[in-house]
Amino acid sequence: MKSESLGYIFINAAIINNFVLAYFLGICPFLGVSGNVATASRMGGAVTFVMLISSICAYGIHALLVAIDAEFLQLISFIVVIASTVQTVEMFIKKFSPSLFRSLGIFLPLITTNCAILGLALFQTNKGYNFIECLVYALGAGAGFTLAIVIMAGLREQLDLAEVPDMVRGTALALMVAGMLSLVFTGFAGLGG
Amino acid sequence: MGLLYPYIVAIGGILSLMAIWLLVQMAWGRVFPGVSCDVDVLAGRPKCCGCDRESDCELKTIQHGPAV
Repeated sequence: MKSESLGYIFINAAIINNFVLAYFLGICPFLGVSGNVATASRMGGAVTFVMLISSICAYGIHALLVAIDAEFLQLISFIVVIASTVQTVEMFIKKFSPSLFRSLGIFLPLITTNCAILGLALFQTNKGYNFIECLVYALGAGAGFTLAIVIMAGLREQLDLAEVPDMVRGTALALMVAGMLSLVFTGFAGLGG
Repeated sequence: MGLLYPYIVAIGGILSLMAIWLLVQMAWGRVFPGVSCDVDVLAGRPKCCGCDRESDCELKTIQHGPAV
Protein backbone atom coordinates (compact mmCIF):
# COMPACT_ATOMS: atom_id res chain seq x y z
CA MET A 1 0.00 0.00 0.00
CA LYS A 2 1.20 3.49 -0.88
CA SER A 3 2.36 5.39 2.19
CA GLU A 4 0.74 8.80 2.67
CA SER A 5 2.06 11.68 4.73
CA LEU A 6 -0.15 13.01 7.52
CA GLY A 7 -0.43 16.36 5.74
CA TYR A 8 -1.64 14.67 2.57
CA ILE A 9 -4.17 12.58 4.51
CA PHE A 10 -5.55 15.75 6.10
CA ILE A 11 -5.74 17.72 2.83
CA ASN A 12 -7.18 14.71 1.03
CA ALA A 13 -10.00 14.28 3.57
CA ALA A 14 -10.68 17.99 3.95
CA ILE A 15 -10.52 19.25 0.38
CA ILE A 16 -9.70 16.78 -2.39
CA ASN A 17 -12.15 14.09 -1.31
CA ASN A 18 -14.40 16.25 0.82
CA PHE A 19 -17.03 14.04 2.46
CA VAL A 20 -19.92 16.33 1.56
CA LEU A 21 -18.94 17.76 -1.80
CA ALA A 22 -17.06 14.81 -3.31
CA TYR A 23 -18.59 11.74 -1.66
CA PHE A 24 -22.03 13.30 -0.97
CA LEU A 25 -22.08 11.97 2.59
CA GLY A 26 -23.69 14.00 5.38
CA ILE A 27 -25.95 15.89 2.98
CA CYS A 28 -28.82 15.96 5.49
CA PRO A 29 -27.11 18.21 8.08
CA PHE A 30 -25.33 20.04 5.25
CA LEU A 31 -28.64 21.23 3.82
CA GLY A 32 -30.64 21.29 7.04
CA VAL A 33 -28.30 23.25 9.30
CA SER A 34 -26.73 25.69 6.84
CA GLY A 35 -29.20 28.51 7.38
CA ASN A 36 -26.71 30.77 9.15
CA VAL A 37 -22.98 30.76 9.71
CA ALA A 38 -23.06 30.64 13.52
CA THR A 39 -25.18 27.49 13.66
CA ALA A 40 -23.28 25.93 10.78
CA SER A 41 -19.92 26.38 12.49
CA ARG A 42 -21.29 24.80 15.69
CA MET A 43 -22.59 21.90 13.65
CA GLY A 44 -19.17 21.57 12.04
CA GLY A 45 -17.52 21.46 15.46
CA ALA A 46 -19.93 18.79 16.65
CA VAL A 47 -19.37 16.70 13.50
CA THR A 48 -15.59 16.92 13.93
CA PHE A 49 -15.96 15.84 17.56
CA VAL A 50 -18.13 12.83 16.68
CA MET A 51 -15.83 11.90 13.80
CA LEU A 52 -12.84 11.82 16.13
CA ILE A 53 -14.67 9.55 18.57
CA SER A 54 -15.90 7.33 15.73
CA SER A 55 -12.44 7.06 14.28
CA ILE A 56 -10.97 5.91 17.59
CA CYS A 57 -13.82 3.41 18.07
CA ALA A 58 -13.53 2.08 14.53
CA TYR A 59 -9.78 1.58 14.88
CA GLY A 60 -10.24 -0.35 18.13
CA ILE A 61 -13.11 -2.45 16.79
CA HIS A 62 -11.23 -3.34 13.63
CA ALA A 63 -8.13 -4.39 15.59
CA LEU A 64 -10.27 -6.55 17.90
CA LEU A 65 -12.22 -8.17 15.06
CA VAL A 66 -9.04 -8.97 13.14
CA ALA A 67 -7.56 -10.52 16.29
CA ILE A 68 -10.54 -12.85 16.76
CA ASP A 69 -10.95 -13.45 13.02
CA ALA A 70 -14.46 -12.00 12.92
CA GLU A 71 -14.24 -9.21 10.37
CA PHE A 72 -17.72 -10.09 9.09
CA LEU A 73 -19.10 -8.39 12.22
CA GLN A 74 -17.45 -5.10 11.25
CA LEU A 75 -20.48 -3.20 9.97
CA ILE A 76 -22.90 -4.01 12.80
CA SER A 77 -20.14 -3.45 15.36
CA PHE A 78 -19.32 -0.03 13.93
CA ILE A 79 -22.96 1.06 14.08
CA VAL A 80 -23.65 -0.14 17.62
CA VAL A 81 -20.34 0.78 19.21
CA ILE A 82 -20.11 4.24 17.63
CA ALA A 83 -23.69 5.10 18.63
CA SER A 84 -23.18 3.74 22.16
CA THR A 85 -19.87 5.54 22.60
CA VAL A 86 -21.24 8.88 21.44
CA GLN A 87 -24.20 8.46 23.79
CA THR A 88 -21.84 7.65 26.66
CA VAL A 89 -19.61 10.61 25.85
CA GLU A 90 -22.65 12.86 25.75
CA MET A 91 -23.71 11.63 29.19
CA PHE A 92 -20.26 12.47 30.53
CA ILE A 93 -20.37 15.89 28.87
CA LYS A 94 -23.75 16.58 30.42
CA LYS A 95 -22.41 15.68 33.83
CA PHE A 96 -19.00 17.37 33.71
CA SER A 97 -19.43 20.23 31.24
CA PRO A 98 -23.02 21.49 31.06
CA SER A 99 -21.92 24.50 28.99
CA LEU A 100 -20.40 22.26 26.29
CA PHE A 101 -23.51 20.07 26.44
CA ARG A 102 -25.72 23.11 25.82
CA SER A 103 -23.40 24.24 23.05
CA LEU A 104 -23.55 20.92 21.20
CA GLY A 105 -27.27 20.74 21.88
CA ILE A 106 -29.34 18.59 19.60
CA PHE A 107 -26.52 18.17 17.08
CA LEU A 108 -24.64 15.36 18.79
CA PRO A 109 -27.35 12.65 18.68
CA LEU A 110 -28.37 13.77 15.19
CA ILE A 111 -24.87 13.30 13.82
CA THR A 112 -24.28 9.92 15.44
CA THR A 113 -26.44 8.10 12.93
CA ASN A 114 -25.23 10.09 9.94
CA CYS A 115 -23.80 8.25 6.95
CA ALA A 116 -20.66 10.41 7.01
CA ILE A 117 -19.74 8.89 10.37
CA LEU A 118 -20.13 5.31 9.15
CA GLY A 119 -18.39 6.27 5.91
CA LEU A 120 -15.40 7.58 7.84
CA ALA A 121 -15.15 4.34 9.82
CA LEU A 122 -15.31 2.20 6.68
CA PHE A 123 -12.93 4.35 4.61
CA GLN A 124 -10.22 4.46 7.24
CA THR A 125 -10.46 0.70 7.70
CA ASN A 126 -10.27 0.04 3.95
CA LYS A 127 -7.31 2.38 3.59
CA GLY A 128 -5.46 0.48 6.34
CA TYR A 129 -4.47 3.59 8.30
CA ASN A 130 -2.63 3.34 11.61
CA PHE A 131 -3.95 5.04 14.75
CA ILE A 132 -2.37 8.46 14.16
CA GLU A 133 -3.36 8.43 10.49
CA CYS A 134 -6.93 7.59 11.54
CA LEU A 135 -7.04 10.59 13.87
CA VAL A 136 -5.66 12.91 11.17
CA TYR A 137 -8.13 11.50 8.65
CA ALA A 138 -11.02 12.14 11.06
CA LEU A 139 -9.80 15.67 11.76
CA GLY A 140 -9.48 16.33 8.04
CA ALA A 141 -12.93 14.95 7.33
CA GLY A 142 -14.41 17.07 10.12
CA ALA A 143 -12.56 20.17 8.92
CA GLY A 144 -13.77 19.50 5.37
CA PHE A 145 -17.35 19.16 6.57
CA THR A 146 -17.04 22.38 8.58
CA LEU A 147 -15.53 24.20 5.60
CA ALA A 148 -18.30 23.04 3.28
CA ILE A 149 -21.17 23.82 5.64
CA VAL A 150 -19.80 27.26 6.60
CA ILE A 151 -19.29 28.22 2.93
CA MET A 152 -22.80 27.01 2.19
CA ALA A 153 -24.24 28.95 5.14
CA GLY A 154 -22.43 32.13 4.06
CA LEU A 155 -23.80 31.79 0.55
CA ARG A 156 -27.32 31.12 1.78
CA GLU A 157 -27.19 34.14 4.09
CA GLN A 158 -26.25 36.30 1.11
CA LEU A 159 -28.87 34.67 -1.12
CA ASP A 160 -31.59 35.50 1.41
CA LEU A 161 -30.93 39.14 0.57
CA ALA A 162 -30.63 38.62 -3.18
CA GLU A 163 -33.41 38.97 -5.70
CA VAL A 164 -34.10 35.50 -7.04
CA PRO A 165 -37.21 34.14 -8.77
CA ASP A 166 -39.78 32.80 -6.33
CA MET A 167 -39.83 29.39 -7.99
CA VAL A 168 -36.19 28.66 -7.01
CA ARG A 169 -36.17 30.33 -3.61
CA GLY A 170 -35.56 27.95 -0.72
CA THR A 171 -34.67 24.28 -1.19
CA ALA A 172 -34.28 24.45 -4.98
CA LEU A 173 -31.75 27.26 -4.72
CA ALA A 174 -29.92 25.49 -1.88
CA LEU A 175 -29.57 22.37 -4.01
CA MET A 176 -28.30 24.38 -6.98
CA VAL A 177 -25.73 26.14 -4.80
CA ALA A 178 -24.66 22.78 -3.33
CA GLY A 179 -24.20 21.40 -6.84
CA MET A 180 -22.09 24.39 -7.89
CA LEU A 181 -19.99 24.10 -4.74
CA SER A 182 -19.43 20.45 -5.52
CA LEU A 183 -18.31 21.36 -9.06
CA VAL A 184 -15.90 23.90 -7.61
CA PHE A 185 -14.38 21.28 -5.33
CA THR A 186 -13.80 18.90 -8.25
CA GLY A 187 -11.11 21.42 -9.25
CA PHE A 188 -9.01 20.06 -6.40
CA ALA A 189 -9.02 16.55 -7.87
CA GLY A 190 -5.52 15.26 -8.46
CA LEU A 191 -3.97 17.74 -6.01
CA GLY A 192 -0.92 16.15 -4.38
CA GLY A 193 -0.44 13.52 -7.10
CA MET B 1 -14.64 -26.72 15.45
CA GLY B 2 -13.28 -24.95 12.36
CA LEU B 3 -16.70 -24.59 10.78
CA LEU B 4 -18.46 -23.82 14.04
CA TYR B 5 -16.03 -21.10 15.05
CA PRO B 6 -17.55 -18.29 12.91
CA TYR B 7 -21.04 -19.15 14.18
CA ILE B 8 -19.94 -19.11 17.80
CA VAL B 9 -18.07 -15.84 17.29
CA ALA B 10 -21.04 -14.29 15.47
CA ILE B 11 -23.54 -15.29 18.16
CA GLY B 12 -21.20 -14.22 20.95
CA GLY B 13 -20.41 -10.95 19.16
CA ILE B 14 -24.03 -10.04 18.53
CA LEU B 15 -25.02 -10.93 22.10
CA SER B 16 -22.14 -8.76 23.38
CA LEU B 17 -23.26 -5.88 21.19
CA MET B 18 -26.83 -6.25 22.49
CA ALA B 19 -25.55 -6.25 26.06
CA ILE B 20 -23.46 -3.12 25.44
CA TRP B 21 -26.42 -1.41 23.81
CA LEU B 22 -28.75 -2.30 26.71
CA LEU B 23 -26.24 -1.10 29.31
CA VAL B 24 -25.80 2.22 27.53
CA GLN B 25 -29.55 2.70 27.17
CA MET B 26 -30.08 1.94 30.88
CA ALA B 27 -27.44 4.50 31.77
CA TRP B 28 -29.05 6.89 29.33
CA GLY B 29 -32.39 6.44 31.09
CA ARG B 30 -30.77 7.39 34.40
CA VAL B 31 -29.05 10.51 33.00
CA PHE B 32 -32.13 11.69 31.11
CA PRO B 33 -34.90 10.59 33.49
CA GLY B 34 -37.58 12.75 31.87
CA VAL B 35 -37.41 10.90 28.56
CA SER B 36 -39.66 7.86 28.27
CA CYS B 37 -38.33 4.67 26.66
CA ASP B 38 -41.21 4.75 24.20
CA VAL B 39 -40.46 8.10 22.62
CA ASP B 40 -37.78 9.21 20.21
CA VAL B 41 -34.37 9.68 21.82
CA LEU B 42 -34.39 13.27 20.58
CA ALA B 43 -37.58 14.08 22.47
CA GLY B 44 -37.16 16.41 25.42
CA ARG B 45 -33.78 17.61 24.21
CA PRO B 46 -32.67 21.22 24.30
CA LYS B 47 -34.44 23.44 21.82
CA CYS B 48 -33.34 24.68 18.40
CA CYS B 49 -30.24 26.59 19.46
CA GLY B 50 -29.19 24.23 22.22
CA CYS B 51 -30.74 26.26 25.04
CA ASP B 52 -33.59 25.39 27.38
CA ARG B 53 -35.64 28.46 26.47
CA GLU B 54 -39.32 27.59 26.06
CA SER B 55 -40.48 30.84 24.47
CA ASP B 56 -39.68 32.02 20.95
CA CYS B 57 -36.44 33.86 20.32
CA GLU B 58 -34.86 35.73 17.42
CA LEU B 59 -32.53 32.83 16.55
CA LYS B 60 -35.46 30.44 16.19
CA THR B 61 -37.14 32.90 13.85
CA ILE B 62 -33.98 33.15 11.75
CA GLN B 63 -33.53 29.39 11.48
CA HIS B 64 -37.06 28.20 11.03
CA GLY B 65 -38.92 31.21 9.72
CA PRO B 66 -41.52 33.19 11.65
CA ALA B 67 -43.17 31.34 14.52
CA VAL B 68 -46.77 30.35 13.84
